[in-house]
Amino acid sequence: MKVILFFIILFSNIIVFSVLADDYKMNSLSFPCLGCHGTMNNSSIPNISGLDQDYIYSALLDYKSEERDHYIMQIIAKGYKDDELKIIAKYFSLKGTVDE
Amino acid sequence: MNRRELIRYFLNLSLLGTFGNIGSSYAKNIGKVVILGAGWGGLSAAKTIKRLNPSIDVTIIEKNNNFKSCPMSNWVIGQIKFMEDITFSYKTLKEKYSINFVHDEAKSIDYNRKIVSTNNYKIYYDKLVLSPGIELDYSNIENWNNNSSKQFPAAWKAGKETILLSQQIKNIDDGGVVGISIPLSPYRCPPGPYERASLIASYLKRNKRRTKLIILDANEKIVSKGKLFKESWDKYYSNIIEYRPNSGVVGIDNDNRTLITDFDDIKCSVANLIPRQTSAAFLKKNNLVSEGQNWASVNAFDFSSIIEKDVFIIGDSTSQISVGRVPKSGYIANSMGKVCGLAIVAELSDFEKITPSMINTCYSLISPEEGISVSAVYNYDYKDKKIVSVSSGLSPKPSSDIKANAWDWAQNIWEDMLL
Repeated sequence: MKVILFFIILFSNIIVFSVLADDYKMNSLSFPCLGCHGTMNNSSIPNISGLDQDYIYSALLDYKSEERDHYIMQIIAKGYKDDELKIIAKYFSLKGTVDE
Repeated sequence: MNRRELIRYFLNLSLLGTFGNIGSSYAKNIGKVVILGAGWGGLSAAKTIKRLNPSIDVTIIEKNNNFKSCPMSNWVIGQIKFMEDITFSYKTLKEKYSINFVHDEAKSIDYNRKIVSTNNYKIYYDKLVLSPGIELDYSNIENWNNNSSKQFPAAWKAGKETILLSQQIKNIDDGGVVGISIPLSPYRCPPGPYERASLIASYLKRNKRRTKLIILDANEKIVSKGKLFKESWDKYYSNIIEYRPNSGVVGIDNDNRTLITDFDDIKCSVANLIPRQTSAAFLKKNNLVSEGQNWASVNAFDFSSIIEKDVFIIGDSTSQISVGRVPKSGYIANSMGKVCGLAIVAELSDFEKITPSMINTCYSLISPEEGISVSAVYNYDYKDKKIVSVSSGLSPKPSSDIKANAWDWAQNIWEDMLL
């Protein structure tokens, strides 16, 4: 019993810390975006909470390559690597889907 | 820690994820954070910590009973908004996020015992965040005295002087001069004085057509968004604004409301004297500013003080030499609060800190109808140990869309900090 418990704790420890590290990175990259993107629905700066992750990601890539037009979003998207934009897209797709 | 506690510990950790407060009600209190200053930096740090782990005890020391927004306060001076439009309660932070507020003035810090003393309380901290803002420094203005601010309001901290200057502009006798004096950079909100000049000029153009606006700038050129401001002034206010670079104000004549430079005396009907600035006096008094420096040095990776352990400094008080070239803006203070909040939660939870990531966007109006903006994304340079811009740029030209974005940005970032 004690041996099993030991391995459960050891294993959960590894999983927990890898999950935490991912979440922490997601928050670190995404929180600054909340300065502009809030939850108001009649705003000229869109509420993107809960939108599809792939949709947000492709929009961000299009801003980065200037295929999509908005001068601020083009500046912002160019500041991140593609995998970082993917993480930010994930954050906003999840935002609002759990009680915050 | 026994076995049951250990299991609970890991369970809590696993729940303490992205939207932290899912598992919060079970999570153990892992520390007490005290934050000095409920402005843009302090509130952002507080909300970030509570977002990540609501069980961390957060207490904010703030002498004011409500939040008056410095960004957008030029809209009040420009007669577009009222002070009530940019004043908010801390109620939601107290009730929804269980953030404790001590409305009192901080006096001193005992670093050994980890205690902040206010006029009425002694408050223990595990981690201390200082976001006290700026000190206005009039020591280089000849003849300045305690009563001078009525004749020469700075209106550089949102509050009484904002209202005073707004009223003075509104009621100005036509045919005189409005003087605005701008200190040498660095100062809070680099584009702020030029936005203010634009909005006052717009008001004069519509209502007081014989009144001039003279800008006395200690800097050799417009500090921020120079080309965009210059083009707008040439287009709209060429008969109203006179811009004088390299014209720092060195003294005043209290009896005649006159701004004095090395070259001229400018008699004003309204005189907006924005003095040079330093980090808040509280930081100097508590030995967090190095000898001979005006601003507090920090480690740019997490905004910890270079001087005292478990102390973090964010916002306009920080030294750009230590942080890197970031403007003293509301958005930057907000971003610093997030980096610092994340770092504190990492320290209290014993996991590794992550590379800081920051954003800035500053909107300015060039008239009540049109705005301009500057934006940047910041990363951390491990070699120089500083925050560096990895992408930045200006808005193309003034537009009404940008004006709409400006107000909506304010609504959203206020929500981010206060709701």
